[in-house]
Amino acid sequence: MGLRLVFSDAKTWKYLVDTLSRLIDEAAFIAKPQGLTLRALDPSRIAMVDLEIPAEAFEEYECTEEEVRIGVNFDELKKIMKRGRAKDKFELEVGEDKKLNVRFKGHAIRTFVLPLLDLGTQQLPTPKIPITAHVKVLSDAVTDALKDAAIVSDYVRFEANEERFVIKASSDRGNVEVDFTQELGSLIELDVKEPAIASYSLDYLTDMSKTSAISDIVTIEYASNKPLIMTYDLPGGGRLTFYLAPRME
Amino acid sequence: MGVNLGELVIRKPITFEVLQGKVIAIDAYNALYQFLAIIRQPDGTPLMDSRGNITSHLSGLLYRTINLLEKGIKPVYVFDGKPPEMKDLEILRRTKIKEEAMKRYEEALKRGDIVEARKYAQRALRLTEPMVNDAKELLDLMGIPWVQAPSEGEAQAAYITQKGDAWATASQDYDSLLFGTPRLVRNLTISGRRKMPGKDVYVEIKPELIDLNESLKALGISREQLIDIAILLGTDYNPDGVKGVGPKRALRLIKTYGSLEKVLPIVKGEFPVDPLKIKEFFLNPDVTDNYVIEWREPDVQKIKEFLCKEHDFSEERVERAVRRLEKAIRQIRTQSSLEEWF
Repeated sequence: MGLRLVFSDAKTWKYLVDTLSRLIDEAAFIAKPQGLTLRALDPSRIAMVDLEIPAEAFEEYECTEEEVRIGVNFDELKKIMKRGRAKDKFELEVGEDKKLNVRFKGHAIRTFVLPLLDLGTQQLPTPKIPITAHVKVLSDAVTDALKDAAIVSDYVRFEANEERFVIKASSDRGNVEVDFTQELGSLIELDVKEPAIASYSLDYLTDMSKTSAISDIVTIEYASNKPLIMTYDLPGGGRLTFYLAPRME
Repeated sequence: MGVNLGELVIRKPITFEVLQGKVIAIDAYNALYQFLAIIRQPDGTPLMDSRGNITSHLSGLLYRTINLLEKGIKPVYVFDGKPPEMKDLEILRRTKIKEEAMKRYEEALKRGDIVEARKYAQRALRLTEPMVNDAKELLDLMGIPWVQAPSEGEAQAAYITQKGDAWATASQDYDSLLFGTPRLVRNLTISGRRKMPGKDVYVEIKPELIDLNESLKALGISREQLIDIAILLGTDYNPDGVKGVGPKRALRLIKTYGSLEKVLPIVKGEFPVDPLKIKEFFLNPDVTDNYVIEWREPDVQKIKEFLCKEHDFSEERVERAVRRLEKAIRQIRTQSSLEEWF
């Protein structure tokens, strides 16, 4: 017996898998006694996801081996997760047969069995980013700002200085500017050592910001013309972090 | 044309996503020939401007390249230079086939047999120097890099890929594997719904990837031995190969005896050129380091002049294409990769 995880509600996992499937095709969750992680690059190597959920965040967490790798195709997993209901109890299990059992417990016990993919054991490094701006904002406000920006452009500029954090977009179709302020409540923390200006692709940001469905606050860290680090705290514990390479305008 | 290694190597269907963000060295002559073959009117007549210049290849180059760019693929076209002398025989043979096909095409047209006419028109197609020059000019205006090979384009494309300046070579032919490309992508510029030649049937063509090392490992041979097998099967320099030797037998022979040198006395083949010279050419072809791979802002005004004024393309369609091109090139020029910070 290798691994058994129980999560109190399927909702968080539905959104988690949905978001991940937008960015990556195949990747392996790595389960260790202390918790579950996943790190994967998107196929174009512009973005990376980094997921970490400690054992305590699960209702039950049994990992009897030093490491269990759960290689999955996210399109397949997403189809299964769509079948889960918000209040279902959600279980992941890997047994002797080296297959992944995905189980929903609601009015009935529904079990899906997936083959595990062997995806190699290559470890992705953490990008080295000399962060100069650290911003904490309401995640819904960011999602809104990205939707606003999409009206005129396919990329956005993040501008942060000691006083404010702004998301801007411009093109020959027009300009959009979204100002995050402490007074109106969207800006929770602003710590800028050096003003930071960088551009990022809206395609990727939009996919990442889907996480706002399960997480109220997002931490944005970056520096001028450097990758962006976007971290969402997950309900019940753990976090989902995205790295996104900048556009060099 | 080219060596038939399709039965031996491992061909894996892939999605365009796999190629996202990657530089692909495209065998330009191969792509242009594909465009000439596909982009035709029902009776086989290629697209032409009002002065009778063929423009099928330009149409293909414009729209297909934009499609690739929009998928995040970074194309660089590699053009053939002067073919090695030992290819003379093959070139002569191809010219003859084309002349014959041209005759049959004209006869079929006279009879009003459109199906036959189309068939022979495709066989008769020729890529002339002015057509190639037009293609290079269009690429320059589009901001797409191209490389002039000193000799075979596939050899140069393989070299660029070996050096790591491209991720894969793209061609329908397998020769670039012999020249040592670590990866070969087929069907890149012709993917999509395509009519089967001579039939009223459509098939969906998807790109496929051949990993040289994976294939060599699976076959249990070295690249040199793959070249040996190719020479037994027939290459551009000895089109007929060795009579009676097919892919399976060639593989078995080379694996049993180790090398072409040892197999030659056994199979008693006839070669138009010294087969060991062919092998040497595949191992050490003439290639150059003199190239720059860079995607530039397209020259919108000049593209319109070149295509619409000189070659009678529809202004409306070119306008739309150019807008897509500008956006796609911009994305490629500006988007960095996360790996730069690893």
